[in-house]
Amino acid sequence: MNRLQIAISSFFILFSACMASYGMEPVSIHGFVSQGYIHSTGNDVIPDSTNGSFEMNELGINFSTLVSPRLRMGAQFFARDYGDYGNDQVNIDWAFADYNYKPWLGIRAGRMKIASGLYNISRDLGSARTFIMLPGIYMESFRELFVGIKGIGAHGYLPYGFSYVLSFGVIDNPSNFKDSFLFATLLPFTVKGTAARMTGLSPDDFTNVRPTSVTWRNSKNIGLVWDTPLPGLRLSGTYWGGRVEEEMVFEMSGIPVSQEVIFEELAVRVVSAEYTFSDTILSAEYMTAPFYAKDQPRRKLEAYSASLTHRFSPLFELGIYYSELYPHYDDKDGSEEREGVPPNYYWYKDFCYTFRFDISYNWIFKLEGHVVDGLALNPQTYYLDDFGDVKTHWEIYLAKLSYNF
Amino acid sequence: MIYFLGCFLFVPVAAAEVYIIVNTTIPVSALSKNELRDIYIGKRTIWNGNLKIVPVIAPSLSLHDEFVLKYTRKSSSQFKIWWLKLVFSGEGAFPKTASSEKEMIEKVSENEGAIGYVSSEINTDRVKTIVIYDKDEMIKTFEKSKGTDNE
Repeated sequence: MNRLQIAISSFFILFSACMASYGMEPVSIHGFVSQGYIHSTGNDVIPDSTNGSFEMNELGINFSTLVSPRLRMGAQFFARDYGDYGNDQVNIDWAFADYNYKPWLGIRAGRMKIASGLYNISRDLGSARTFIMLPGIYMESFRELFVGIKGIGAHGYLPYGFSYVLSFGVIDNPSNFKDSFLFATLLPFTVKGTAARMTGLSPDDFTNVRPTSVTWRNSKNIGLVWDTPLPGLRLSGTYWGGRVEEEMVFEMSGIPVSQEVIFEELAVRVVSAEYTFSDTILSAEYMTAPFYAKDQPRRKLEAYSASLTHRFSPLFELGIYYSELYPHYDDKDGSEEREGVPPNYYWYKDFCYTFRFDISYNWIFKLEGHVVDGLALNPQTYYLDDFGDVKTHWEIYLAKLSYNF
Repeated sequence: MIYFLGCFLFVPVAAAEVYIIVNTTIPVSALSKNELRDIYIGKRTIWNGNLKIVPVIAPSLSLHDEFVLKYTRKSSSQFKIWWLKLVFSGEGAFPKTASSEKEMIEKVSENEGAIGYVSSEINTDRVKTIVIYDKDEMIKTFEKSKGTDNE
């Protein structure tokens, strides 16, 4: 936790004490903590997960208060560990002021969560869903991109069951985009492949490919939800994205080279449907993520999923989902091998089953299994020296204990 | 053993009468079911006249299950998850909680703008019971009676 974060926390605590002493609204404090265990067969999900790993935890605490009946302020600090990512570094997850002018218009300023699909705004809070690992449309490997947008926004509830959220600013990552799987690992693969094709050299002639800076521009997030007249049926559409400028350096046969990669658009679009009937929830989501670099062909990721959950009692809930994810929607069998990896890296088909136990109002325990076909966007399998040393069909098993207050 | 586990995992729910109470500072004597729903899912946060709405819940009471199912169309676990999403994404503040009906009445009487639910009608100088009406049902009944009059 850096000095700024400590200062903000201290401010909220002192502010709370002052407000309470003047009989005003005190600061609400809520938090969550979870610890997971992951074991996989055939391939690693996080380092050494084939031997079992506890490097899977989350911790969050938030402070919020009503400055006036219409003005709310708050901030949440969040830390996580997921193998090589996070390493329990504390960051500001969201921090904004929210002025509710009318039910149909609220204005926000600060760092806000990104609306993407039904579950992105609560993706770090395991208690808020049945599953431990979300379906492919939430692309856990690209989580850094989904975290937050810094700028201004509007939100509200409209007639006929519609609600909306709009945010404009910059897609913001409190740690560093340069260390993310997309910019630090996946794009270098693409750059090596593209450079090799352009020069006639081998991809192995390009070494030490790494980003030196990643800058987002003109980012926006739009979300629309419709609670339809059919009780329990909710439809939603979300979009977020912007322009990205990435500066990369690499060595070509030992000679240092610098290259700027400009993504005119890097975006995620999701349409979702959720139907709640008594204790059963059915949902389906479809995602496309277009991205195209200047002077390069237009590309698009595609993913879809369907899930079913049923609560049998206050204690016990069962859920299943099936999802498919393709890094290139127009090459689902990987026959073109665009990134220099074998064909089984071009799809990820996942059948998941979860048992959720609400031990008490605050404690939740989950057991989960995944039957997986393919390796697309699984970070650990991109770090291998020999891409043949992987299993196309494999399983993942997880257990997680969470507490929130 | 299996019977015991079955009882533990699959619990039936009993029905109970639910009355809605508010702090007497609130200038309303009736709310529609949709208005009550909007309050309890965080869509509506202010009473007319700039008074903050303070919803109170009692999750440990069986009455809570009846209330959330009847007025928010959510099971108690779905209701909890709904609020967890709002609270941890910064989009709302969790309702005040009470552990008994007595505490529910105390919290409603102590907080201006507070609203809660109990199992029997209560009217004091600090708390009043309000009427909850179904707007759609009223319109249907009105149109039906209009039709009967025309005949």
